[in-house]
Amino acid sequence: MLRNVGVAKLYQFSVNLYKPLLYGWISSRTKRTIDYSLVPTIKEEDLKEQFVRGSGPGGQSVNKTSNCVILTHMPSGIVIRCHQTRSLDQNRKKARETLVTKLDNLINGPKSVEAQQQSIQEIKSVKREQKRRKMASLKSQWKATNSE
Amino acid sequence: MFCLNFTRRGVRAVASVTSTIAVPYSNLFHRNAKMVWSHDSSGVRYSMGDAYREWFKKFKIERISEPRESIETILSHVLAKDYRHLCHQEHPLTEEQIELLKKLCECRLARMPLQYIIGEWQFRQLNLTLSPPVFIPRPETENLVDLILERLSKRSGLVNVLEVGCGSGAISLALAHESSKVMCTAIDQCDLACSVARKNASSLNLNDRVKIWWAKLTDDGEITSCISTCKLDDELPKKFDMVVSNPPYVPNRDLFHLQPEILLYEDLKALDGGKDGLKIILPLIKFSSTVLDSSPVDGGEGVLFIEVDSSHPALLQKWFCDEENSKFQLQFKSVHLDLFGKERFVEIVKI
Repeated sequence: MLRNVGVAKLYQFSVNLYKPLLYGWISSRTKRTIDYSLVPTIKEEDLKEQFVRGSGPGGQSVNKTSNCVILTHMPSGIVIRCHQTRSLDQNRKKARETLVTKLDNLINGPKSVEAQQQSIQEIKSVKREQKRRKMASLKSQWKATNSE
Repeated sequence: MFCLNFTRRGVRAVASVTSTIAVPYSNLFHRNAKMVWSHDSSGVRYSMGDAYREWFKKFKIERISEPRESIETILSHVLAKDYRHLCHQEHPLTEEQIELLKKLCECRLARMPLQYIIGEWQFRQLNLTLSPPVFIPRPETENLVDLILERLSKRSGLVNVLEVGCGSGAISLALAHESSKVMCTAIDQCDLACSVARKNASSLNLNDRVKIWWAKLTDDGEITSCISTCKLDDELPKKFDMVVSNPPYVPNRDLFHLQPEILLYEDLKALDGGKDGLKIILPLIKFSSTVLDSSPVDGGEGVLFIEVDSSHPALLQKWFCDEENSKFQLQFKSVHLDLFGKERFVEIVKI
């Protein structure tokens, strides 16, 4: 009798394991994974960059530390000003990353990566709060029974 | 401690007995008086905001270039935090901080470049230690590394790169950090530059992939060791897959019009390119023809990348057209623009 139950449980477990393979990879996505397929890609032709370097020969002849990058995405009109690091190259890269995030939020709205991350965080915090309340009530129950 | 005292003449503010120095009564009601709190022996709280405003004004009066960036960078260094992102800018500074700030700002008033004042600067993803007179990497050179990395991605296997005139080691270290398939050999004729480059290499844990030698390129296009005046043949590999360089290329006509920051503190030998700026570039091209391979191994022929002045691509194309120079078996492949739209990088291949 016990052996049969064990085998039935094993079968149930193995079916659950292979379900994604049966129904395709889409079903293996859970509420916790983020869908990156809608993130927009930016084309270099649509971008306009501005830096401060001044006139003159440039290169070795100039030693300026201002490395602010002003990146304009012409189709959408979004302008990003990036001055986070001391490297011009890194500021350009960060400006592009910020632009992709902003475009994603603009185009995709609730399906953007940031919105998805926020909803996952909200679900997690709700569950954490529920767990905390349950633990608190169990604790108070135990205290009540033990104090008798 | 501050409290209100109700008297027959009305309310007056009185400093309580817990303060170390009593505040003069008359000051409290003077139209322009700030509320001074006893803080230290001078009786004045000197905040970050006060420091910013005072030194920004001094830099503007003395016509220091980039006054805002100067004071922000120095304050960030003194506070060990990014000043621009601090909310409580009226927080007072300690005695040591005030002392250090004054010292660094005096250096800036003496036109010392910011990179030397704080002793470091960022080059791509790396923080490099910098000290005078070692040449400060320019933002254009960051593009050169992008160009080289793009070529490297088309090759398979280990790539041997030689950098001539490495200075602080910026190019070699950035390449080694961002690509796992390069072995860099870097030379510089200044022993101070070599020691700074070696320090940067060890702090970035790249000693195994970036080797630095104290050597110079002669006018005939040979590399000689500065320790013993002989060729470095035995220590260096015989052939390289790539030669890269940011050699001195400033023509004489521009050299003495440079900013005081550059003329007073940076090594002029790292900038002076002679009459037309090609004093080092031509011997470099001749030298590269002896160490680059023409046979395409692992997907690419031997290539030389040089950062140059915007007047040089035209001059170099003319030089390559000269029949006398065909003996070097090199071909001028292309010119690349920098971010500011100037012709900055030349690509030369071995044929």
